[in-house]
Amino acid sequence: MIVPEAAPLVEADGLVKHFGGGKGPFTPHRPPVRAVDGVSLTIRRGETLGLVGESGSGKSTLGRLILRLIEPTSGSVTFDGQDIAQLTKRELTQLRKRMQLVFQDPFSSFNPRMTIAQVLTEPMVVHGMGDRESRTRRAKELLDLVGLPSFAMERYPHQFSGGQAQRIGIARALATDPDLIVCDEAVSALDVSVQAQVLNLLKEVQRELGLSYLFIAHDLNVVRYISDRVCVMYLGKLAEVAPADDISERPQHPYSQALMASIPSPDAHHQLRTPLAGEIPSPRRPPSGCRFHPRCAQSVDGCDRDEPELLTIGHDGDARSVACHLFDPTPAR
Amino acid sequence: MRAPARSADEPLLRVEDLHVEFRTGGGTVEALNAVDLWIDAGETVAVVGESGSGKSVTALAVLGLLGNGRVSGGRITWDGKDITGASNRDMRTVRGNDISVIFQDPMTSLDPLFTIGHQLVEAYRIHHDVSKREARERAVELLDLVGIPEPAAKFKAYPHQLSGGQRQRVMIAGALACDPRLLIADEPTTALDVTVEAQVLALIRDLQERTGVGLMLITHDMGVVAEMADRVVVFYAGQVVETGTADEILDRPQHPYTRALLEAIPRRDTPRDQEMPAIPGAVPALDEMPTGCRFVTRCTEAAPECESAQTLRDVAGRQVRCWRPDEDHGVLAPMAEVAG
Amino acid sequence: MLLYAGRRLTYGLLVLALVATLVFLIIRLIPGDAVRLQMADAPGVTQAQIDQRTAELGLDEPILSQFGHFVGGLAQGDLGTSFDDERPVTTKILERLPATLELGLLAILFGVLLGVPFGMLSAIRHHSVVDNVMRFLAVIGMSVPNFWLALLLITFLALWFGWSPPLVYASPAENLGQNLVHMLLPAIALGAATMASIARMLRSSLLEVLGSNFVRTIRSRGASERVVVLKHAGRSSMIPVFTVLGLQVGHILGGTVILERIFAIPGMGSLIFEAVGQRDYPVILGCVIFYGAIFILVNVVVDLLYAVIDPRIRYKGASA
Ligand SMILES: Nc1ncnc2c1ncn2[C@@H]1O[C@H](COP(=O)(O)OP(=O)(O)OP(=O)(O)O)[C@@H](O)[C@H]1O
Ligand SMILES: Nc1ncnc2c1ncn2[C@@H]1O[C@H](COP(=O)(O)OP(=O)(O)OP(=O)(O)O)[C@@H](O)[C@H]1O
Ligand code: SF4
Ligand code: SF4
Ligand SMILES: [Mg+2]
Ligand SMILES: [Mg+2]
Repeated sequence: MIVPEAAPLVEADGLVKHFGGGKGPFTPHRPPVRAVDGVSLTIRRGETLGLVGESGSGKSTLGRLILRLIEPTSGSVTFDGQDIAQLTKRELTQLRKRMQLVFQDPFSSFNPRMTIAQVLTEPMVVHGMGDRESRTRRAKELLDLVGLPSFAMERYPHQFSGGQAQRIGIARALATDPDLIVCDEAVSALDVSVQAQVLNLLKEVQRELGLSYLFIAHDLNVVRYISDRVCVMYLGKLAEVAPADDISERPQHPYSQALMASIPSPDAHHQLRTPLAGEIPSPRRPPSGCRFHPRCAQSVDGCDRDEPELLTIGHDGDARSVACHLFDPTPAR
Repeated sequence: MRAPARSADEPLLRVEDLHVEFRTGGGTVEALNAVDLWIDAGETVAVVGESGSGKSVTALAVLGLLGNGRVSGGRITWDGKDITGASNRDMRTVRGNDISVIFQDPMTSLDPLFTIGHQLVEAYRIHHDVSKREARERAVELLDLVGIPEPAAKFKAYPHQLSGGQRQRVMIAGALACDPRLLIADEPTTALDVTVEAQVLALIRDLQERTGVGLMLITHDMGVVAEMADRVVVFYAGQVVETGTADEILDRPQHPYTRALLEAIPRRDTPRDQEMPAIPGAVPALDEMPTGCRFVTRCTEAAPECESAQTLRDVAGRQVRCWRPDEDHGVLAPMAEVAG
Repeated sequence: MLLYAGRRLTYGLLVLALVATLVFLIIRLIPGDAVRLQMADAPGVTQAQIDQRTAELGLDEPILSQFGHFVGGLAQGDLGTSFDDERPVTTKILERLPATLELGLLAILFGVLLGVPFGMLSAIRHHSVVDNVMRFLAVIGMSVPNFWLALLLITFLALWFGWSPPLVYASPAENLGQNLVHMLLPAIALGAATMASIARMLRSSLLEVLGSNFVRTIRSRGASERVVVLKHAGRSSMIPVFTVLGLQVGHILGGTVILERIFAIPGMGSLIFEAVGQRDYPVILGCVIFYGAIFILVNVVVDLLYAVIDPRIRYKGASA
């Protein structure tokens, strides 16, 4: 599925996003929230890149940075060879067509007074695509693609179940024929039976249209199932990036290992998981050195002082990157 | 392992053929239609099912906290006493004292305007006529019990100063303040990260071993069921469709819905190049319920027999609401090894 | 907390300065001119006399320099002297302030003492007959103008009971009984809208809180409805009620202008009424600044009350 030679669709380089940090006349100084703190990654064409991590680790912020819905504090994003920070307004609008976002709660992202036909044609109108007739035709095609009958066109969002509404959300994202869709917890609120439907739909659409996903979720098994590669994020930084099966079978970073060990499994009867101690620290005051060190069971001398770099072994589809002092990047031969 | 069929002794809690209606703008809707379950002392019963299937309503009905809803049929028995439709005054002596509950969302389930210490003291003093000082000691002891660091200092903290995991610990402390005999945990970890979920479940297990409290654990996560439950009750569209021991339900599910549900869960080793076995369609709306088997619109094994109403029958040592399985065959179709 | 209070107060002062500037400019736009109004009726007034008087009052200077004098005086707590009787504006206002404060406080008392129980009852028995009647009354209370309500009260009391309010004002020090009887009707007329808005706001906020998750938790622990409603839900629903109260103070202050007139109460309201009639700019300005200051002070107190009630606001303000 992945063509290694082709240039990646998205390249993020050293992305940083800090929020707040008061210095107004009445607000005493406080450090900013380091929501994303130096993240580099690539998303290849036709690939699904998974993104997991605890709540507050910066997943949504990273997704919004890549879509340029917010401005980075520093760092750059290249989309299909163009630095998106350098684009003119017009070029940016052109680019918006090619990247879309699907949210967790489909209902809150629809105008309740719009029919589904309006919901689906709106992005095409915004981007000046086609005439009224061809837009309606395309909306019908999209509904068909996501497995909804065409009489849904005249209905309103509240007349659909959660799973159906999420299908509509996906159809709307597909309306402008994008190259990239960021799915931010897109299946997290759905029941398992319906979640499976939507996962299948996402895969099928990708097979047919060849687009890329950045798939953000906190359910590791879901992410592993849908992704080609998975990034594990901790406190605004990447802890590990590896092929999906590797990360679940052979996690290298102690945090990835702890995360994998804490997935409850229906097959493990009466086995208590070994909980990872403590909770994720405040991104305002991240721990020194390796940010994971206060919770790491394997920490060694110097972990609280020196920040480990994200080091990579292997190439292309097999590449694996880990940010931990215990990781030995020289290939064992 | 526990006896799979109805226990011989009177259980702690028994719910029989429970029906619950809600008055809404457009008339009444029936949220529960025939719910049967029982919980023995010290036992952990997992209640699973899709969103809207009636899990929380069952818990609220047991506590008499239905608000604009009412029990329209059936019986709830607590410790041999019929408490169906008991007065608010009578139920108040049960709530918190005999039966306690932890709700799903720890972020909004504590009063933001009072310290957590105050709320624990209050919980204890509702059922114990003790001085503020004694109650205070108990509160600090409870905070310590649920693993809050520096309990005496945290006593003065407000809910917004705690993380989600810590708030859920405080909720557990409040629920256990009066040593109840049954703890109802309504999706206690759904809002938490997996790492924190593991901590909270380990805490509940530990407290259960120490105090012998019975647990009704409402969840939609089969992984949590496997980890915690002795028995499982599966809900679908306001009815119980299957009950049995956790091992039986997870390894040899009988009802087509339970089987499909277990298959639809992505696992660590689900092949990534295959489709997920999803259940087609969605749960029918309350006002569009089929008159026969409620799963008929989505069941891959539906047949003409399914048009008639199904009852919960004893089958192969458990209860199933489907005419198909019979004791000789147990599992009917050669299903893929679900627990594999 | 102190920091929070300081910040609120600073904002309040800024708003007050803005209001004073605007009013200074706006009253010059009212048609009519102070000097002509004062002297026009006197026979044989010459243009020279008018000009001289204008110069005495400083009205011949450019508006900017007039404004400069005004601000300079204000900075020293001096609001200037009245055009009418040349007494210091501050003295005139301070004479009239007590009656207005008394009336305002009585109106608020009436509004709170009735609005709070009505709102609570309405929420606890929502959709009952009691609730529907109260909601109907609340809508009326909010939409009927206070002077009209006052006239209505006077008329009906006179018709049915042959009773009419005393016409001569007595200060509470002179004759407390007569004073209270005098104040009763205007306080009710003024406080009716406050009562109605408090009842409405309390009803809706209490209903919302009673359906919230934490109230469910408290009920699930076996707490009595008294504890649930009065202690927990009541406290949470006070915040929007205080907001309403802060805004109502504005309505009440505005209402005093006409009601004091109707009931012949020598307060700031009637003072401003007279001053507008005579284009007595310093008095108008002084009154507006006093009204503004009271309103802003009340709302600063309301903001501080939020912080007292809600620890989330308290801590955000303090340890931010
Ligand atoms: N607009 C904002 N202003 C200030 N802080 C923000 C803002 N958006 C996010 N943050 C903070 O940045 C951090 C990362 O947030 P983000 O939403 O990216 O996390 P996440 O990994 O998506 O978490 P979740 O799993 O809870 O969705 C958090 O601490 C959050 O509070
Ligand atoms: N107060 C209410 N008024 C009207 N209908 C209600 C009310 N409470 C619950 N219901 C309905 O009762 C049904 C069962 O709801 P319940 O909350 O028990 O579901 P659940 O199984 O707990 O789902 P979830 O997993 O989403 O918590 C739903 O269809 C719901 O809409
Ligand atoms: S660098 Fe040290 S503290 Fe960090 S994950 Fe590796 S071993 Fe643990
Ligand atoms: S009764 Fe019929 S439709 Fe219902 S679960 Fe059994 S086989 Fe399926
Ligand atoms: Mg997020
Ligand atoms: Mg529920």
